[in-house]
Amino acid sequence: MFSNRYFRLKLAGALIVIALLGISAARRGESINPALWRCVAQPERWNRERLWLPAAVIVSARDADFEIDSGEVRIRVDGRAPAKVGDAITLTAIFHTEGPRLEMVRGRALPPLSRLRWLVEAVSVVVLLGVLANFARHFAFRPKVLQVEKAP
Amino acid sequence: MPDLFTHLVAARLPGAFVRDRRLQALLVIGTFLPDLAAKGLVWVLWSREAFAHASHSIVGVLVVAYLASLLIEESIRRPGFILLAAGGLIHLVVDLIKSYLGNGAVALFLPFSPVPYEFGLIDPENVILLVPLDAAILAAAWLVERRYARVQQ
Repeated sequence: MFSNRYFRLKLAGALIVIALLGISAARRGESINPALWRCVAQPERWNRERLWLPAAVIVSARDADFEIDSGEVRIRVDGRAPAKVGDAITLTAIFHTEGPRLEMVRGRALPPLSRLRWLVEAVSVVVLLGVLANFARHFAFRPKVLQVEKAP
Repeated sequence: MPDLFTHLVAARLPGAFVRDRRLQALLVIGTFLPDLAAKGLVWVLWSREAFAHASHSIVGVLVVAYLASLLIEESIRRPGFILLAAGGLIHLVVDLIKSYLGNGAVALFLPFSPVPYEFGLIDPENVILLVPLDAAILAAAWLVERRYARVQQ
């Protein structure tokens, strides 16, 4: 399994298995947390499906419902707004064809620290560069296939 | 890759007990493999996000680690695969601690089950709070490693 025998076959086999896993995940996981824009584009297909919105902004609120802007879609949500108008929230909800509208299951305001996300991403880039540098100290990449062995 | 620092620290801690520096480097790279595979599929190959979910499953981690291990020279391929896979599995455990309002963070058992799981311990938007903690753990791991190396001498 770890020898160089049938190396290309093993390489191709691993790539094929990864592709099949991806296809299987795409098929079986399609109905899990569908994107809101898909639900709005095909309301009949996604009626009563549960979805998760990672981030949306409350644009208006009343006692029993509120409206959100997800960046792609504006939609009414049944339930009490979990934050003030203008605040960013995350929520899980059930999509309903009539309207269309969402029925909130759980929701919460995004923490103020989410504005510092860029800092975490900057740290992540530095970490990645450091790890790759450390990796290059221990391993060399020499693709034989592209090397010209002799001058013509 | 919003919190690679946490992933690095989670792998670096057990990595302090791996003597061979090459294998230690593979353990750390292994912990980035699920994200590298997922982002590569979505950003480079333009595949659908659902397609990339397989990279964050146990079977997906094992297969990607095997593929990556084939690129390592034969003499350390077997331990290399073990360390890459261990790094990938550590990545899944770290992802599980995030809270996605009960929707699940990782579909661990793809392709057998598409159900996602989560421990729901920290808001993904609050990962910045982990940075000082991560730095402290990394420093502790470094000190342990130095002491361990001194004892070996």
